[in-house]
Amino acid sequence: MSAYLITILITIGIYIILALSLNIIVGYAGQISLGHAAFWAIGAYSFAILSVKYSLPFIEASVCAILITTLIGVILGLPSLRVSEDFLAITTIGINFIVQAVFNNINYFGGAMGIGNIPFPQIKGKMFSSAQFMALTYLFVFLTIVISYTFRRSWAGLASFAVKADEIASNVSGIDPKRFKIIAFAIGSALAGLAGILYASFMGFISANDFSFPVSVTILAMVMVGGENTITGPIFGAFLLVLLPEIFRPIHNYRMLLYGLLLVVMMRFQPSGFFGEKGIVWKLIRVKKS
Amino acid sequence: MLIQQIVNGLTIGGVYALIAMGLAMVYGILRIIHVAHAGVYVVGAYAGLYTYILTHSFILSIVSSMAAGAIIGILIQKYVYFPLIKHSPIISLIASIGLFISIEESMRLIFGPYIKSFPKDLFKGEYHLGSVVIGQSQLVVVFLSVAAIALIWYVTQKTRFGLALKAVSQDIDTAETLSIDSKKIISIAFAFGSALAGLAGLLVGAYFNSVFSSMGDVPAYKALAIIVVGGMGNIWGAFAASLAVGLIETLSIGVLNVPLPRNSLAFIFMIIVLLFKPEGIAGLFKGLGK
Repeated sequence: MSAYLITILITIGIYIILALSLNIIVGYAGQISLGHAAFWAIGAYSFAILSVKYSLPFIEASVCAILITTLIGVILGLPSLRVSEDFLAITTIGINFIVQAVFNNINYFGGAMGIGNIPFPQIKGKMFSSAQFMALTYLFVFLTIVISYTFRRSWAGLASFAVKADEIASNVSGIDPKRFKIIAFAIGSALAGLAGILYASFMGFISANDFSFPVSVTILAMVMVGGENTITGPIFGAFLLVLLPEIFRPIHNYRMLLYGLLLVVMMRFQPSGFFGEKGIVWKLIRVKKS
Repeated sequence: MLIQQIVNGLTIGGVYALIAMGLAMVYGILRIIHVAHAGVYVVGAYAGLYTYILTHSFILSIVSSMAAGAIIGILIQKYVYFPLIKHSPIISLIASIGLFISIEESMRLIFGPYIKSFPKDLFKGEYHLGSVVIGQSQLVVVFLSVAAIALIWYVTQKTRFGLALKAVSQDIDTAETLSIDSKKIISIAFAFGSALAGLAGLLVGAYFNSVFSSMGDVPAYKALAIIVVGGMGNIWGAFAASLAVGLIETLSIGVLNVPLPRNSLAFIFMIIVLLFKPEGIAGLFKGLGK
């Protein structure tokens, strides 16, 4: 496999983890989040600082980074329990801007220069090859799919669906909406932290601009265009939105315009996404059957 | 020095108010987070700029920027938002972000990626009031913002249209049974709010003497923070919040030397306000009505 292909596949893998983790917050628990890149950034930065400044080994640094991201995700999720959905969308945009500003302006986090020399994972003193790194990425993608699937079938997942469908009714039925929103935020940010570790370690260099607000929009677009509340949807969305810019490279001047129009047209005519409940894919398959 | 900073802060705040009040009006009736409002602002800036280059009349460029804004606004409302009104807010939010990207990119492709400036004869000269210096452009911006805000006050508080708008924003169905043509009211409100955004684009373009396709990026998200502080659908809350944000930004950069970038301050202010008053500062302005 060429290095280009491996890079693309690893990028897709990282975005699949991000889209599926955001799907737990948006698709399962119904909480609009436009700041997912912030949690990705927190994962990447905590991993980078732990392994570069405190020279922790890969596994220890990863575990700590995931714990830190989960903790911050829950803390930042707490104020969102107080506000209703439209407020939440804007609050999460704010979180994204503030997190980016903090990483960009405080010298401890590398400031505008970012953090470099982030180590690749090693086995027995030998560095991973790119192919091995790809295998590691897809191992975690598989793990994320398992978590998404298990969560759907679990009691917590069912409770989250109830909260999403009707918060007051679920509250009356003895489900504490706050508890399940927090659980969704915790799992979602933990997985985003995992994606951050993979990204930081693969790129070797990170700066705050890698995690800007448009990235959050892209992650949410992956979930919505693919189909929220499904597992195939976000995976498909990640493939689509990572591959489209590569395919449209020859007409790169029009890339952003096409991306914008894709979002408008999809939401206008296919609001549940390609693989959603009333999505176009299922419709095509069903027509063929009959 | 301090007074100078306050004057500058209020000038910027007045322009923010033009954008944010239209946004609050739109949110008040359709409950849509209208990110594309800033796209309308960019279109208004270009329309005003080219009218001025062609005719050398600032009055005509005011008219054309407002007309361009109104037309774009009606098109957006009619072909994108109205059909999506029954779907969850996240669908129209993504569609709105897609629209915003499409509008900005179209402007970049049509008018080129470079910063354009007004012909030199637009505003020159400055006035001295004691130690305070007020440029002519600043005076024009303040005067037009005050005039536009007075117009908003008159239209929403003193006309039959304002009354009907209040009814539609409280409950569309009940307003319909009282023989209010809600579709017409919504269209007019959209045209009005978008015309103000177009005017704001022209004013900012003239004030900083630069018009470029991505000039809407910062207002797009800052205006959202402002309307959250103002209590989402509340026009006068948005007005007060705009002035507050304009002052806070100018004072904390110019006088206190806060190390964070200017554009994240609005969001920090927003989160602080949300922690203490989750409903925004709207409650402070009950007397002025919604």
